[in-house]
Amino acid sequence: MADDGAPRVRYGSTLDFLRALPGPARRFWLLVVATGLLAGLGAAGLLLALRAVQHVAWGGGSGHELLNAVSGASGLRRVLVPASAGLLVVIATIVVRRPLKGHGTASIIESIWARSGRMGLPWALFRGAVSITAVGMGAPLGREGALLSSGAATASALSTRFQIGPEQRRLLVACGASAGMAAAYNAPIGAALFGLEVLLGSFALELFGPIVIASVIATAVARLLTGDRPAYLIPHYAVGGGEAVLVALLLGPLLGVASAVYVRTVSAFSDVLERPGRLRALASPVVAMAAVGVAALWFPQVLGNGYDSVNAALVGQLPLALLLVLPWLKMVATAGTAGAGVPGGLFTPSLFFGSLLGGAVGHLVHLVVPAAPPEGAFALLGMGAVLAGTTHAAVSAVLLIFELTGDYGVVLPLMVVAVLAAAVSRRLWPQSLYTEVLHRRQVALPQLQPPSWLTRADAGQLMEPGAVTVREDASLDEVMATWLELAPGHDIHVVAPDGRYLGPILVERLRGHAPDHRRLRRTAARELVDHSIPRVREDTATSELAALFARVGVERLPVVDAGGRLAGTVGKSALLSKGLF
Amino acid sequence: MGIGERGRWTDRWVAGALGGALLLGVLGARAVPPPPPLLKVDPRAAVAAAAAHEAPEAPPAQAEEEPGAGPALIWLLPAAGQLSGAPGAGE
Repeated sequence: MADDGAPRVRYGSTLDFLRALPGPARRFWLLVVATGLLAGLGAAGLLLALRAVQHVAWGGGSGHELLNAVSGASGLRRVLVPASAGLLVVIATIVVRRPLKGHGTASIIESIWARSGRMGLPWALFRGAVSITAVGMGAPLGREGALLSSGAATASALSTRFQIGPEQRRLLVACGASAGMAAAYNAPIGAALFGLEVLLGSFALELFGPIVIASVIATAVARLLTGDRPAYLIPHYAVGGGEAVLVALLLGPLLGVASAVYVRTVSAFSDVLERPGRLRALASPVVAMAAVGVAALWFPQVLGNGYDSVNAALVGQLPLALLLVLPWLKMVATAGTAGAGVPGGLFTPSLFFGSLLGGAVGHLVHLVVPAAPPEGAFALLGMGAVLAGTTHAAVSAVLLIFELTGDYGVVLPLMVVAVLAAAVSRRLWPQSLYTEVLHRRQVALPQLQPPSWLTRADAGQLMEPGAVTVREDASLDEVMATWLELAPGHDIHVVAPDGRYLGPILVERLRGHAPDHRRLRRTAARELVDHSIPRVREDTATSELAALFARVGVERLPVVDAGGRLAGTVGKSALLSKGLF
Repeated sequence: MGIGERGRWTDRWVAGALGGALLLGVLGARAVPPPPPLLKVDPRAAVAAAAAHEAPEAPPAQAEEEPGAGPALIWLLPAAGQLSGAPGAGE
């Protein structure tokens, strides 16, 4: 079949398909599968390590029961264990002689965009191990940072080992990070979308396939090793119709503002704590973690990932006082420890922030309108809104929340709050949680272009006003005299006495016509108008202009206003210099 | 935004965040149980030891007052709406 030149569409098996692929493509797809497998195994290993650390540090508590274990611990233990985690970070920093700070995702974006997908595997694994230990000992950060980084670094190491090109390496690194995230949250669809939207900035089909395959494999491996259940267990909330829209309109902008505050606070703490000073660099992790420990004397919920509190908020079991206080305490604790140099993710803490704030709004609404949707539904929407608001990734936020909770009932208001929160947050603070870090490090990311039909460039912006015109009854002599005075590349335009535009005279196009000498003297300008030349409006998009120039084959096109009068002309060279069609 | 200007707003922002967190923490601490003792024995072991030494006819009211069975254990409950001092307490 391949001999006749037609593409082959039938394969006996997957192996048959792989054999038929060209060498580099075959190697790449095998590496995608290997990345998924290794990221899943790594993620499962790190999750089991997290449980073990929690068990040793707090006694008895494991997995999702950290709060119970912390609550049973003495005051001294609540302060000393987090402070020891800070000390561990300091020792690790001294041993490797470079700071461990950072939350993974920003470094992955930097690696993909600015370093051709290169990441050091030993460094990522070491940093991941320190991060998981610190989170297990109470650092108010997310475990996902370690999982994403180790997945991405594994992919980078594989691509270097098997010598694939930089484009494929970049894509494979995004596959590894998405696979790590999918395994961390048991959320393959959301993680794949996160990889496309946040890491690669594109939903192109060529990117979608490998990322989905790596995410699915990693999730399957992690499910096999650590169990299959949604990250958060909640009752089914069915919120639809008019009340859902009202809730979304209330929560979206409110949590968009809160998201901008969150991003700005994380950035401000990093800014202040990153200032030069060896003593500050060494002391700050211990001081920050000890301060978190002191806060945990009264509020043990600030320690660790915060799963228990988010679960309690999602079922509406947290009292109003805690719903009002905890999000802000956790935000400051997260910003302070991350800025101080404790490695860990910012993704899960933002879920904590959003769900508790949403729950607080729900609680307050219930005081006024008892028939409002359940408080837990507000918490769920808050979680999605802050996720979209802090990452500026509304699509993956919706999918992630849907997968994290397994609840489809709130999908309509969830989509609305995600879009509103992302728009408001971006308006208030242009950087996301991830790009803010890169912006501070002065890493230049390429500006992603919106689709050409969305670009604001149009004929009005490229237009050159003041075209040369003649009256419609002008004689041939007048036309020729005007033509001789014209600058090269311009045309004569004919207008009616009332100002209406009739069309251009393209003298070049008159060439080759046999003249009727008896009528030449009586020829008026209106008879020379070339009606085949289209006229454009000021709001005609550049893409349309490009298509017209390709079809008509002239150097300039006339631009008319709403009243049909000539406003100016737009030239092919101006369009080419803009470079956007 | 210049470097100096950015430095000023970050200083102010961090000071405001820390001050706000402290204020919220102090206000919020009134709505939650007091912190646990600096050093405490395992509450389960303490309860078990107390039960072993207690006379069988001891009234249940006294058992509730045993050390370790007070606020610290109530605090363990995820249903924090039952906390003393919290809204809805005693309902």
